[in-house]
Amino acid sequence: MASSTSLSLTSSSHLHIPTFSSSPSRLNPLPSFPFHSRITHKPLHLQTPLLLYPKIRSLRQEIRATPVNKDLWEKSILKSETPVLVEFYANWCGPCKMVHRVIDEIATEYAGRLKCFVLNTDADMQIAEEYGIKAVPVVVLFKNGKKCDAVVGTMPKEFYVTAIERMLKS
Amino acid sequence: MTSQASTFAVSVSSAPSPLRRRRTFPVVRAQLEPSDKSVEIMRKFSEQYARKSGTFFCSDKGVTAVVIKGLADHKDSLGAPLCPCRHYDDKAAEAAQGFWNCPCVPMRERKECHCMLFLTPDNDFAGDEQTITLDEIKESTANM
Repeated sequence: MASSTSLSLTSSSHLHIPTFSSSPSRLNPLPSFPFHSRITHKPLHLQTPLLLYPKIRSLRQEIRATPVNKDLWEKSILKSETPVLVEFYANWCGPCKMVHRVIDEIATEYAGRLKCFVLNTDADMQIAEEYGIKAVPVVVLFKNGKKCDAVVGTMPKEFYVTAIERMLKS
Repeated sequence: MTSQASTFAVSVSSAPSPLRRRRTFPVVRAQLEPSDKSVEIMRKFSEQYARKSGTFFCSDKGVTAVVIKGLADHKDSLGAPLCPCRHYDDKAAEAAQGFWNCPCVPMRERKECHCMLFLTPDNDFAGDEQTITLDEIKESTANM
């Protein structure tokens, strides 16, 4: 776990949050990946009961992370009045697909309080380089146009939630 | 290896340049699908290397499948299985340099695979398998 799989908060340059628009993960009706982490051994399905109850879930409007690119960057991210999350991903990055699923859930759960985006680093190299993206996935949080946190790698959902809550309270 | 890392950090290149430098092949590649041949090569490699290194595939084989296809895609386009879980300013240069060609240096030296292809048994995401079939790969990456 000390392996590269575990990600740590980085303070590398500003990043954006990319979301997967065509995430294959959405094909899986259930989260098949085990999100128990060292941080909490609670399996994901226990943390997100909504996933187990599609009927209940459908009552809530499902919101997914929106693709963002260089042209939309300033308006969508830097000038957003609402805090923003951007997940940076690459086309064939397996773990990114897992993180997409989590970010989509977060997009729904934080609707109105947090805007979630995804950015394809293969398609938008300029932004990726501007924010110093190396390993993906990277989830970056912005508030008032400023990057305030970044999570590199594949983390359990609550890890992202904690970072988001910290930002919203700050 | 250290110098390599720092190279990444200071790399400066505009958006189009890496694409320009990317090796072009006579055949127009489908944007999304690597060749069956390369997928098979990387699938076999992955199984063998997992056994050899005592590591396991992710319990979500969808992750494994996508990464194998990503390696195959890079093998097709770059001639080397460059790690698909990183962003590069210049993929062709990276592939030639070799640091991030699978199995990358961190994997060989420390069994660190942030792409989650090869997971040590103590990793929370690790499953208990070291095999993946072509069908599994196709199935879990259909509709990508």
